[in-house]
Amino acid sequence: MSMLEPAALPDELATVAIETGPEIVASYAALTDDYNPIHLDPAFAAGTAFGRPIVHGTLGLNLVLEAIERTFGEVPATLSLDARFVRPVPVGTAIRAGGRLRDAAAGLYEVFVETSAGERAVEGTCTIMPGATPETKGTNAS
Amino acid sequence: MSGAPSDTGVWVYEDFSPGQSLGDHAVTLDAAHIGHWTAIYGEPAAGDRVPAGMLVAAMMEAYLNAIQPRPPGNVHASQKLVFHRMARAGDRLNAQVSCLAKERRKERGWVTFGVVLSTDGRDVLSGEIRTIWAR
Repeated sequence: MSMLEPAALPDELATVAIETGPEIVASYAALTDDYNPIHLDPAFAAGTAFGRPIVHGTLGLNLVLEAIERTFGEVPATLSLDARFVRPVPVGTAIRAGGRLRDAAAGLYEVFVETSAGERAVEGTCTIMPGATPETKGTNAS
Repeated sequence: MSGAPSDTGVWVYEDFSPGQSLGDHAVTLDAAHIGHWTAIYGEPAAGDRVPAGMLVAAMMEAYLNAIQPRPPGNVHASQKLVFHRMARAGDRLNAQVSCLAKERRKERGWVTFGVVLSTDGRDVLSGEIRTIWAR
């Protein structure tokens, strides 16, 4: 984890994108042990309000973290993130994640995951505290 | 935590109470986890430090296994994450899962769960998972 100064915060995070095909979703199910049929079974999903399988929410959210790591080279010393899953993503949809600096002094970025059509699936903020050190943060940083 | 506490066969809204521990669960960042991650997001960055998202995946694995069986139709509505330090490939993470809060709003049951991942007694990631519980 690295220390950052406000001036080191870029205006935009790197954009990271993936295609969320069935194989990708199956891999995420195996990674998280989340085999909910809403993600994996078209017949089951057809009987739900979504009508077809949807991507695990944190599969997309992790793209935001990938964007942060790609931008800074590693996870900054202090990183917090608060996000809402605002729209389901049908399996097979291309998604991308990124972020824009909103308050450099506070280290505050607006972050998002959106489809290739620009529909937001995840919205939120992350805070990258400039100048923080791993030893001065957290609740159990012994 | 294993099995639903109520006689419904699954965990339902009434089974949860703020402050309730839902147990400790271990997740090892082994080759299988890294392989699944790589299939989705590509090769992790150089070194043995795992991507931050892999910690989120571990958090979800612990959370899902802590509360079984679950009713179909739960909605993961929002997520908070605070990273304390990173973990390395091969680390065995301990996940403490708990219920932080719950409330009824417009006939829906909202439940917030907390998961704290640690390794060697040091916190790695704290997460809050806010859900609309289906039953």
